Amino acid sequence: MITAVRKPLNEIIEMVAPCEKILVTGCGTCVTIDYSGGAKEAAILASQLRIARRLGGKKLETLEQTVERQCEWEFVKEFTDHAAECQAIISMACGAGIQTVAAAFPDKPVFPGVNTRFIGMPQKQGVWEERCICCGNCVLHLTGGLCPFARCAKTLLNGPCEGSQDGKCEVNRELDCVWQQIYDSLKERGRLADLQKIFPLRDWSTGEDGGYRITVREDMML
Amino acid sequence: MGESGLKEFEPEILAFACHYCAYAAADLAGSMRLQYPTNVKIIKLPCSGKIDIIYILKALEAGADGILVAG
Amino acid sequence: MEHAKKLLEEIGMEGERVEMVFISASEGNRWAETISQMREKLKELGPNPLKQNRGSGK
Ligand code: SF4
Ligand code: SF4
Repeated sequence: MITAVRKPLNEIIEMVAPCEKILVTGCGTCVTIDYSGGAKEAAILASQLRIARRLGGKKLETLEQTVERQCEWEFVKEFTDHAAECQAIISMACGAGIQTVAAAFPDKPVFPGVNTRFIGMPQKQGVWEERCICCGNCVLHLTGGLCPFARCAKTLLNGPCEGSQDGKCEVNRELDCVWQQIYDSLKERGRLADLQKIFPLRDWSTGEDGGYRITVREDMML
Repeated sequence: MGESGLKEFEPEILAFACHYCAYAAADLAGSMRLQYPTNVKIIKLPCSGKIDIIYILKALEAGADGILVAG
Repeated sequence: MEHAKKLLEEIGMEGERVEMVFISASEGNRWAETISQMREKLKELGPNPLKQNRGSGK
């Protein structure tokens, strides 16, 4: 899932400072699951903003609405009625959702309510870890199901650097060295031979370096 | 705020109480005729685990001076 | 509960306005004490600042 964290309140207060009525929108998918931008977080943010405004002696009206997924036009359209009543929209979805809302309501300021962090997973309650950087050419079949791009500080692809020590990464001793983990994982799976394969110089053009990426699937087009 | 304003101030407390524990205790306090401040409004919850941050925020917005969650 | 306090402090309200206690069904006296203590603390804190300027809110 895509993980995010709520933006600091002060930043949001500043964004909405000129507004008297705003729509606070949540997204019902990833950011609901990670407690950063679902219906509940939208309600909390709206309440905090109202209180903060009243402490300053002024008034802020808020509407709240959460849809299934903010990263799709069909769902974002549901905001239309509420949006019409408001001067600005706060989107608590990931960056994709916020941009969908911004594009759907071109006549209104749209403010981010969260900082989108990464594609990852909950490691345990309250802890999320990065898992994938969307390289566009997955190698997990050769790396024991552990992503060397998302999880090696140096994005190494042919084994660890010299700094790997006691299973920890030299860049940050708190982090596990993914290449140690890859070795352990391949060993456990009886696939150490996969380590013998040398990855040639990698073509990163499938990654994010060549401008934004577009997926076209003619079979799915109407 | 003037000194006199503070003296007259009688805080309104909103208590969210678990039906089985604190609410029963409040009930008991009543039947024991214990003296306690009267400006408490009690909202009974089936369990204090039902409390939600948004209830607390809304109570403050509505003007409660203090909130007690009692399980 | 800690989270609730943090949310309040983020806005600039005193986190002490919110407390959590555990009182069992047989502790009628504890209930009375808790309420009295809370009343004292709130007297120190003063009224909820939102009361002076009632805005919209619900
Ligand atoms: S190899 Fe690429 S696609 Fe696969 S998990 Fe890593 S970043 Fe994601
Ligand atoms: S210690 Fe391991 S994870 Fe850290 S940079 Fe070196 S190879 Fe990568």
